[in-house]
Amino acid sequence: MTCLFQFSLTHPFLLLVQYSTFLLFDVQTTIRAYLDSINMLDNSFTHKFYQRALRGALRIFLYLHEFPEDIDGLGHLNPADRKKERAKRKKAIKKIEEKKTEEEDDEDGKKEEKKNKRDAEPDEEVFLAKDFMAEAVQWTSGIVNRLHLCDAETIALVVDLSVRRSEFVAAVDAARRGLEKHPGNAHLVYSLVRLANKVKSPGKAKLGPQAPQIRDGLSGLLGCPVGTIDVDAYVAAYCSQAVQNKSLPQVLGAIRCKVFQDKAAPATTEAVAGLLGEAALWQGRGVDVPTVQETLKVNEAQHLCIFY
Amino acid sequence: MVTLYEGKKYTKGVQTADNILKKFPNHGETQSMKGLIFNCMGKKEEALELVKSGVRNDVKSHVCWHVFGLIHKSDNNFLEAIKCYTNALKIDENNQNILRDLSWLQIQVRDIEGFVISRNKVLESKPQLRASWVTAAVANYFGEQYQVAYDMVTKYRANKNADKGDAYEEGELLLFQNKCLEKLGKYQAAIDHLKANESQVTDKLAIKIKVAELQVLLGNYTVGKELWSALVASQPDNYRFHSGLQVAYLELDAATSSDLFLLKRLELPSTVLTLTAVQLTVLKELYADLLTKHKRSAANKIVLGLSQGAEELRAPLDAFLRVNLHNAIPSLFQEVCALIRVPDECNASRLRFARDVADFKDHAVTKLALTLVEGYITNLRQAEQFDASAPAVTIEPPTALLWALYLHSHLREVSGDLDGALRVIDEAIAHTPTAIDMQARRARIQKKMGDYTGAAVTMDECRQLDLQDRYLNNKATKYFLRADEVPLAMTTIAMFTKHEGDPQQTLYELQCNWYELELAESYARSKQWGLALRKFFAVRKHFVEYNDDMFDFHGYCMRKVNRWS
Repeated sequence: MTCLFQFSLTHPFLLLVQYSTFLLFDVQTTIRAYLDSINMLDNSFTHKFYQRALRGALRIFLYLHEFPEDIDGLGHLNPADRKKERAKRKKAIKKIEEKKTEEEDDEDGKKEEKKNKRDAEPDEEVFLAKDFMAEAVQWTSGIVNRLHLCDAETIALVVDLSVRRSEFVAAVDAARRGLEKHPGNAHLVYSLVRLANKVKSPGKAKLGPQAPQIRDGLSGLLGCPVGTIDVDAYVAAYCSQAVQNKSLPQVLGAIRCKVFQDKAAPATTEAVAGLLGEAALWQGRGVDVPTVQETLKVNEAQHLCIFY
Repeated sequence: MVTLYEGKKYTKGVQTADNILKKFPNHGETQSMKGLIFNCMGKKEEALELVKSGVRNDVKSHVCWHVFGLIHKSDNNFLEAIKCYTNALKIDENNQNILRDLSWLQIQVRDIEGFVISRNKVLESKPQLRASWVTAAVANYFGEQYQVAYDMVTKYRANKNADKGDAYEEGELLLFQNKCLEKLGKYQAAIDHLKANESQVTDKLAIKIKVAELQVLLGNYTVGKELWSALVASQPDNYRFHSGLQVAYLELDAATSSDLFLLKRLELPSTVLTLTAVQLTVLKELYADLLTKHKRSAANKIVLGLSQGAEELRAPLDAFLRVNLHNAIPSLFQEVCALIRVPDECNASRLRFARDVADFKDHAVTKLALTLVEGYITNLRQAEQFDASAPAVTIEPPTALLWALYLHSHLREVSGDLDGALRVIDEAIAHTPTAIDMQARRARIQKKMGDYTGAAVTMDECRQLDLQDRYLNNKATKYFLRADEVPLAMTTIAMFTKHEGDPQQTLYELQCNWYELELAESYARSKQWGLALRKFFAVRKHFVEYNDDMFDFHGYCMRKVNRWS
């Protein structure tokens, strides 16, 4: 029992276990505690641990949806080398499995092993065989109505997911709710810029009958006159704001937006150089200018697989 | 068959079912009951087939639908179970068992409307049970029908035929009733209610806090001040009481006061609001008085935050730091940190504690603290005293220098001078090589510098200073995972798991979320997507389980309040 109490200090959900222990030991329960526990569970999917898992899973889903050839982490190789490496791995796995089976056969207490296997986590292949977009929707179902309680990064990924699923109304709504809670957040701004760019570019997105609603929503978020979408002006304003605020995350976000808007333009290079120039921002964060420049070379979609 | 099922005599139950089915092979209810027994025996697929067949053969039987609902419920398929129970109720609308079970399913999936209807029905048929009244009131509370919930408790208390709980439970019910009044915005009525029923409520402290809050919300600041002062006198280190006291003295409006009553941790109205000179004077006078009464209370720390500007803060902060460094307080930085506040981007009228390097770096308090600590370090090195110009009678203990170095390193670290922080902490380690906190701080600085491998090595050395410390073991594991040293991390964490079986499986069963997240992120960094997803899904499964486990509590909690009936 003492052990449970210790755990519950670091693990809020074990309070439930503790709660049941109280009941078993005939300690009084109260209506207030019951109401509180319901309230706690209502928001359980916005817990930081769940959000972290959600972000990790969503990044992988979106990345593998974009680059399915990298499903075994060999996407960087050319097709011939990839094939060779895959065959090599297959052989190695087969060998390990054969060895394992032999060992299992030799061991006593097969029944016990089998029992353990039933309770164990599924093999990794099971997860890679799933429909990534459908899974992503399931993951986010617990938080879509509670975005105001989520981190900016989580909301940004929800926006990205909605864009990939061509649910632009949902994307605009999530971006709006996110920026209300986290104004000027770099992750949200970057997601908004990409969303606005997709909506703005002719032929990139099928908006359907809700097009005016989506455009008006975006105009409001970008601070443009109703019905217009001026992403460049928004990015320029954000860059100035980032420099003024002396905020490293915002400067990084501004650089990402600039590069996304137009990598090749000399104006972009100039603007990025200007943003990078504030050396005092980088000092002391384990980040140096060459690292940032290297990071910027990573193409647009690969930002999804950067884990902190 | 029902008796055999309830008595868990499953083999006999199956035999009996088979005997009946020999004569009546399409008897739906028997098929359903056999399926239910199979389900308990772990034969899930056969059970589902039998139950489905039972429903097909006798679609107008409430038993078949009830059993179908039970099967879905056992698989945590609550929405489907609700459909089955609703169908069962269409056939037998007064079946109390089904109605009760349905209500628990409804609250589990937060179908509040349905929950209210079901519990009102249960109350109508069983008004003599306490649980019926209490649960119906709770249901209406969830449905935001606060007046109905309030009236239900009143009616229940007036109903002499209904069972009553013990004194504690009745008191809790009154507090619940009071909460309904508060939700209705009837603050005066809530105060009157609490005063009238004070003798019947066991949790006296809850009453005191609630009355104090309500008085402030009503604008009765004089009474509020008295009540909050009494609470602070009883627990002078309780920040929530200090929060209430400050709200009362600042005489804030009801909406702001309600917000400020919800502050957490070290947050206080004086730390989150931009106070005027008049307000600051009020609080300073208040705390000057409090300090005379409670010399060693949290008031000592709170009063520092009331200083305007670095110059005013210098003398009190100097005295505060000296005392705490003398006493070797490891958490001293947190107290200094609480003095560093910046405007909140999300709420223009509020301040927040510093988080980012940009917040700390040029802040006047950071600079002041750094100047003071650097002075102490110089003097302690030279004369073993904080102030060499005014030597004290006794010299400071060696730990004073050690913790001054620790604080200095911490301040440099948050200000972005990681090289400086590392130099200082190295000096601290050279001073006392066995001090765990110093090694852990060094590892953290290395991690911030991007040297994950070096950080992991340092943290592992730190762990080896105390092999029985689970915290250090976990920290070392985490640092190994950040450095993508998965095998080393697994070996390290395994030292504190069960000796038998697979440690990874044990950690999964223990729902060790932090470990699974770090491991998953490490796998993701090395593009092992399958393994990473496996761990992310494990975390998701834990959270789903937390929610599903709550299902048993709905009935349990409400049954519990009826135990004395």
